[in-house]
Amino acid sequence: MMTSTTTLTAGPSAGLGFKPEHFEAALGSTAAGLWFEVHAENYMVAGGPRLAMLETLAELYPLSLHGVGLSLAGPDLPDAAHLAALARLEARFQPFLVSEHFAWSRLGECCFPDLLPFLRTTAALQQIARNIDATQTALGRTILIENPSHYLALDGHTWDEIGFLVELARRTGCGLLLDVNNVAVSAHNLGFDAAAWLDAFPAAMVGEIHLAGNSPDPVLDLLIDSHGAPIGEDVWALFERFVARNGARPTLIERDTDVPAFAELLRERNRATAILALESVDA
Amino acid sequence: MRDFHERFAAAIAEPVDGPLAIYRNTVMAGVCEALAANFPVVCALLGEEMFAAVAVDHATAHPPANPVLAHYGARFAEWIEEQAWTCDLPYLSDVARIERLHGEALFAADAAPLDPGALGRLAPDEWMHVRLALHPATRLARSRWPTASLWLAHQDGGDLSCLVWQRECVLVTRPGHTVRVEPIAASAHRFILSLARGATVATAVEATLAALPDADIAAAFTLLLNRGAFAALTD
Repeated sequence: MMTSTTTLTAGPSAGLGFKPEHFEAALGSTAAGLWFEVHAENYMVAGGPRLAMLETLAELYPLSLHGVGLSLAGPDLPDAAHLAALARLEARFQPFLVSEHFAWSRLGECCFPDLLPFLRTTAALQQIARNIDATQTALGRTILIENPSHYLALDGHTWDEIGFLVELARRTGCGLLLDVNNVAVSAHNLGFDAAAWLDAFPAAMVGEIHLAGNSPDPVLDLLIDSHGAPIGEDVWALFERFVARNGARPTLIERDTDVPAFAELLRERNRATAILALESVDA
Repeated sequence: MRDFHERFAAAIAEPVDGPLAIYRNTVMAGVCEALAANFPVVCALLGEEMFAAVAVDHATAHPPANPVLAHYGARFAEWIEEQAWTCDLPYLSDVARIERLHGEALFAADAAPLDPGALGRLAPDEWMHVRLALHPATRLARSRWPTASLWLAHQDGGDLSCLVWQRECVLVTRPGHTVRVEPIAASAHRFILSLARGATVATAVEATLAALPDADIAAAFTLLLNRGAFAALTD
């Protein structure tokens, strides 16, 4: 007998970052087009209730897998065991999207739970292309790579950021995940025009959008990509601008600290859905 | 490319000012939150402020070797033991050990537990000679302190006032996807340890009764079966 596995696929609607404390509310939600994204690393365990919860969620909603630990912008190929764990999750849950970051978080035996910056040089481009190739080969599919938040103007870049991302996508066939909050945060911190940067972003390569809130640093004149506040009006305006110019994409509301009730996140998610619906006819 | 990464890692390895501090703080906050999530009772015993300082010291000695932070803290108990400030809290490292076992049980592989009915279907002489494998989530420990009771006292509805200051044997199981930590009789511990080391049921009963003549084997076996401490029989 043939067995078929169905991948639930989301249209260009808005989803939510899944929080275990919202499990019951998520199961009872009637929001049309809702989907969920999880951090892959939180589910790289052998078994138990956390995986069982994700199994239940994935039976009801399209799922997107967002990695934070592959360290694609590191000097070494992705850790083989970590990549194998990601491939197992991908095979088990059949997510409609898989994404990672233009950042690094591992150096040898030491891991940093953060998304660290690197110099955009041709050597880095070649290594990151190798790392993305290794990932896409292990998964048997293309992935989306997310633009990072910047806090530091580094000396030594030989590529501008957009040119670098476009070249990597061209070489590897990966798509891009546009994090609009990261654009707003980086524009503030490095002093560039967020709207102009967004207009120059290669929209045709964008397979997903992230929206989140940021927080001012208590000491420095910097915005932090905290995922700990409601989405700011400036980020909403940038999102509307991108969607109006380029059409709808699956869009995720991220919230990782000071997580409010499910209903409050759903209100932000419904606002994003309404903006996407205005443009999805043309998409 | 590696040179930049090494210099950057070195720059955030110590307290630092300016924008680099954003990265250092995020890394440390991530590591410390993970440690607090994996060792909530150690955190409660020390208080959040003290725990935060301890977590930074621990992270400096043992940064995560894996991005899966659910597994972070494998050496926390041993590290605690080496710290001079814990001499007034001699039970703290054992509490950390139990929390580590709790985490291992929580994320252990899924497997069907042994159905007591399956033993009933064996002939009496047959089942005394059967070997029982532990369920992947089952963990055992012995402590010089009432560590399981301390752990239980810090759960919802727990009460420290009835703590009896004595040695404890500890059983960690995961019946129905909920991790249970509980003190068990020395005889029950002896019995399941014997089985875990590959003894037949008959040999485990003999060994337990030889060491502890008053052992209530029936009670121990019933408890272990109820907790799903064994994996289903395989052919």
